Amino acid sequence: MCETCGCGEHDELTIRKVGQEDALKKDGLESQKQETDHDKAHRLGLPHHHHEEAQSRRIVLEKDVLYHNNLVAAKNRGFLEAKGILCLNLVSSPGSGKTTLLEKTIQILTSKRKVFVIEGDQQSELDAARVAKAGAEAVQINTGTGCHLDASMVERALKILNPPEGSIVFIENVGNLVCPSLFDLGEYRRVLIISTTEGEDKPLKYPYMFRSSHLCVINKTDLLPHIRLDMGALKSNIHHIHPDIDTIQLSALTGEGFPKWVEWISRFTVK
Amino acid sequence: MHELTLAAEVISLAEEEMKKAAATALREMEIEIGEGSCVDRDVFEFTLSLALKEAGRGNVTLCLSVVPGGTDILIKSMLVD
Repeated sequence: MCETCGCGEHDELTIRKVGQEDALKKDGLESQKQETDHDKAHRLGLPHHHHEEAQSRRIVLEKDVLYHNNLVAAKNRGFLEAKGILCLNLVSSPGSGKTTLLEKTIQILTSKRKVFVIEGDQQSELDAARVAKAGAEAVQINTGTGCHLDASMVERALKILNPPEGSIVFIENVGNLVCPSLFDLGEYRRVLIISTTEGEDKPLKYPYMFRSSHLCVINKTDLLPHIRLDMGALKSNIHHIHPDIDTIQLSALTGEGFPKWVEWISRFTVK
Repeated sequence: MHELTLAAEVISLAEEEMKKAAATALREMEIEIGEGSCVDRDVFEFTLSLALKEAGRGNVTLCLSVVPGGTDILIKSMLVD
């Protein structure tokens, strides 16, 4: 490995069969790992970079590549806080029941305050139509090939929605448990929704999303009698990854567990 | 997709910093990728080098490394003339 920058190795990639930790070595496959020109230069000690020249200067930055996104997110957060608007970012894998949860939540909350929804999907306006029918004003963002929403998309959507003081804005992110965890949108709280059909091991497979969320809603509890799920193990895995995260079990279909969810939201709404 | 977006962000930040430093040429960039990010090191390297060429910044040596325990992608340093 290069002592200067640590690059040039493929040690970040692990291909391992369960129970056979050294499978690559035993099979002699290690040497078959792809080697880039850059790696080759490191291995052979060729002078390929780190060639500081007399006139060159090194600027030490330590700057987040998502610096601009984070700036816009801070701007969104400032706008929302100034107007006393509660903004929740709903994240999950596809099919966990985010939209059904939103429909029911909107029906309950609209009698108390105005509800707005920013819908994120790669294509179609299906979800925006559903939440609008439930009683919320909605904007659909189609990300095309993009797999997440970013802060500037939310900024534009907020300008279109123009939510009034004291309202609630839900952001339904693109269904994906990886990429949306990277992007701060300016929300007040991030709510992760998983369904009982996803198994106990999701938190261990996608730890960064669990770690960056404030609440984990376990949806589709109405299916529990019909599936094999160890709820204790699921909760244990969730808290192993994020010890302080709140969890709520509910069924968006039957409404079971909804009072706890509504109570959780009302903790943050401006009186 | 991420890699394309992030490459554009890297170039934008690099140009800002070069302007501040009154630098004319970019020689090298050192970037750390958090292992929890959904960024593939090799794809990012390829995308960024193409984007740099397109931005008129060819011949930039990229030193990308994957670091454990995080999702941040940091530009650690730049070598400029």
